[in-house]
Formats: sequence, C-alpha cells, structure tokens
Amino acid sequence: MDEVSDFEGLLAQVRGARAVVEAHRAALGRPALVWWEGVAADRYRALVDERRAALARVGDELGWLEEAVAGLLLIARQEAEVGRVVGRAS
Amino acid sequence: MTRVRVRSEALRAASARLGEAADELRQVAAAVRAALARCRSPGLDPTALVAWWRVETDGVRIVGPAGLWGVALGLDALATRLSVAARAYAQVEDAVAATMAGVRVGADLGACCGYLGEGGAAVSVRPVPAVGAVSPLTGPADLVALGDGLDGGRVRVVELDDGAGGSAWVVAVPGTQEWSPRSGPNPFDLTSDVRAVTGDATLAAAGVTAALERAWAASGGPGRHRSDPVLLVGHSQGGILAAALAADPGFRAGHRVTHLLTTGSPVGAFPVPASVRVLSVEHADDPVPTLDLTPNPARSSWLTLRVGAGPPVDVGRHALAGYVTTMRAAEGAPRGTVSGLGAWEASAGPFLHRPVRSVHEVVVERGWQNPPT
Repeated sequence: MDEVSDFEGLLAQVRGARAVVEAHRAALGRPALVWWEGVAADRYRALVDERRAALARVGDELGWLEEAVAGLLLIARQEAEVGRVVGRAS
Repeated sequence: MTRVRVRSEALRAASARLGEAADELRQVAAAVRAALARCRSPGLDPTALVAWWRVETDGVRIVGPAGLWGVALGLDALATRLSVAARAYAQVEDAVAATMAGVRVGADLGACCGYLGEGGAAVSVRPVPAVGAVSPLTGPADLVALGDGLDGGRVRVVELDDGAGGSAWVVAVPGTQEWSPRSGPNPFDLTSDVRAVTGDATLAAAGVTAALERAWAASGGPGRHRSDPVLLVGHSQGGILAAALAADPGFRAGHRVTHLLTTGSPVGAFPVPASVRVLSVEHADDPVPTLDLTPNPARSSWLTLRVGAGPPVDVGRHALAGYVTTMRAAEGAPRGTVSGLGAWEASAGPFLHRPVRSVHEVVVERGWQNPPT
C-alpha cells in the first residue's frame, strides 16, 4: 500500500504543479504595463512571449507525466490487489 | 501630486509578482522532486519497469533546469529587467517632481511681484442666461462639445433626468481664456494653469464648485442632490481643474463624482480615485497633454484615448473643435474598434440619452478687496 500512496502523492504533486504552471502562463498573458513604451519595453514583451511559450511547453510535459504516473498508479494498485488475494489464499 | 511615482511603483509591483511566481515554481518543482524520490518501481514486470523508467527520467528533467527550474530562472530575469526599468523611471519621476517644485517656487516668487498669484483674492459667481438650449447628450462627443461657447469665465451645469427619479449633473469647465501672467478677474487664466498643475487649490476650481452648488440650490436645494452622480468635463485647463476636483477628497465628500472626461489636458499626476471612471482624450501631436511629463495611469477605471501619430508639436491640434471631431469619429467607428470606449459609455448611462431637466450657467470671477496694482 505504501507504493500506491507514494504514487498517489506523486500524482497529486504533478497535478498541482501543472495547475500552478497554467495559472502563471495565463497571468503572463494578461495585458500589463500597457503604457510602457520603447526599446526596453519591446524587448521585455518579446521575452514575456518566450516565457509564456516555455511555460506552455512545461505544462504539456507535466500533462504527459501526469498520464504516465496515473498509468503506474493503476499497475501498483493491481499488484497490491493481487498481493492481497495471494495473501488471503495462502 | 504623489501620482508622479505611479510608473516606477507599477514596474516594481510587476517585478515583485514575477519574483513570487518564480519562487512558487521552484517550490512546486521541489515538491514534485521529493514525491518522485519516495516512489519505487511497482514490481518487476517489464512494462511497469519501462513505464517507471520513463516517469523517473522525465520527472527529473521536468523539475530541473530544462523544465520548472529553468522557467523560474527566466521569470527571475524578467523581474530583474522590470526592476532596472523601475529604477530608471524613478529617476525620471524625481526629475519631474523637481521640475514641478521649481515651477511652484517660481510661481510663488512671481506672486510677490504681482504675477501668477491669487493671494488676497476671493471668488464669486454670477448667474447668467444660458447661451443656448442643450439637447440630450448622446455620447462623449456631446459632453466635450458642452465646453463650446464658455467665454468670459462661464461654467455650464446641466441637470439630467437619471432615469431613476433623480438627477444627474454634468459640469462643463472652460479652458484657458486669459494668457497674461498677471491675474485678473477671469480666473480661467495662466495663473490657474500654473497653480493647478502644481497641485495648488485655485479660485477657478472653487468657482466651479460654487457653480454646481448654485445649480443645486436652484433645483430644490443642495440637500436633495448630495447623492446625485456628477460628471466633470473639461478641455485643456478645464480638464486640469476637473481632475483636480475629482482628486480632491473634500470636493468628493460633498459631491458624488462618478465620471471625469478630459480632452487635451495634462492630468496624469492627479490622484483621481478608482471610483471615478476617467476618459482622457489626447491628440498625439498636441503638446499640451504631455506638459506634466507624467503619462496617465493605466488601470481599468482610467481610459486614455491617444489619437494620431507624430511628435507633439502641432498647437493647432489642441483646439476644442478638433477634439469634438475626434470624439465623433471615435463614436462613429465600428463597435469595438476603439477599445474601452463602449464600456465607458455604458458606465455613463445616467448622463447619456437622458432628458435635460435644466441648464445653469454662471460667470466665475476673481475679485480683490484691494486689487493688486
């Protein structure tokens, strides 16, 4: 059961991380400092676009990791169930 | 005039938010890494082993420099950029504040010699017949056009049926009418320009207050109207005085200012509260709106329409008629073309498309018991 709860914990942390990443990606997309003009402002906005793309990429990867951990959790639960049945039979 | 600091403060706040976001990403990365470290492969099944190997390698990569830690570092770099920009803005703001202080000191010195001073003067308002009838106001252009014909120190107050049984009030404040540095009976002059833009109280603003109070008195008494919505509209100096009143807690305590509309006015330094919906219209080539060296605050309650292109060098673009034309064009543009204008108009519902109940006009005068020589 420890194995299962460890994977459940990992799944929860990955989901939480994905939500945080998505929230910051959305926050970066909201208009801000619209009055700021000039070369420095243009460069800043270009970098913000890059960071948003990076956050989107990390968010996608966390999504794939979440699916993989969910798969592992399923396997761990099945093994734990088999272990219980074998334990009862013996 | 503390709003001079608004730009550097906004940049610092945005920098702090980015820094906090970076910290949070590092925290979730550490949490995922710790959760990953607690996990082991579920059994010896080859499928499970391969899946675990992928989770472990991908997980370590995603929380590391190629993933969450890297993005957090990127946000830190953005925060640093904003922090540097904030320091640069702070220097500019210090220069602006010093310039404003210098203008005030200069005006005070001039007042000793009879220039740019109102010392010892009092304000009076004299009711006069309204120049003409006012039709229901259909949009910001009609509000701006109310400033037309306010010669000789006239202030126009329009009472509207707010649609809920009460009244709504539009106060049109004139622009600069006298350009002599020596103050005379018309308070809408250069003295009020200099005094208002440096944050001093002016007799012109006091006259505008008296004009509204007199209109209230003529429509059943001030007690009936204290909670009525008030829209202040002004062109050039009129906008400065209107913004000064909207920013004045004393004025707002007795008058429920809900809207402010300025055209061609340098008003970025006035601390107008967010409870007042502001619409500031500026021609990009009109030099006057930038005289305060302070851009208008960027927030949801303050809409600045900066129209046109080119350096601010064409004084002819400052004329009220030009701003009326600009506003009519903006209103006539397809819906959504002028971002924010529709929302501002919707918020100004008690003032637009409402029947006109009465129009009051007064002449505001500056007077001395012992006139300056």
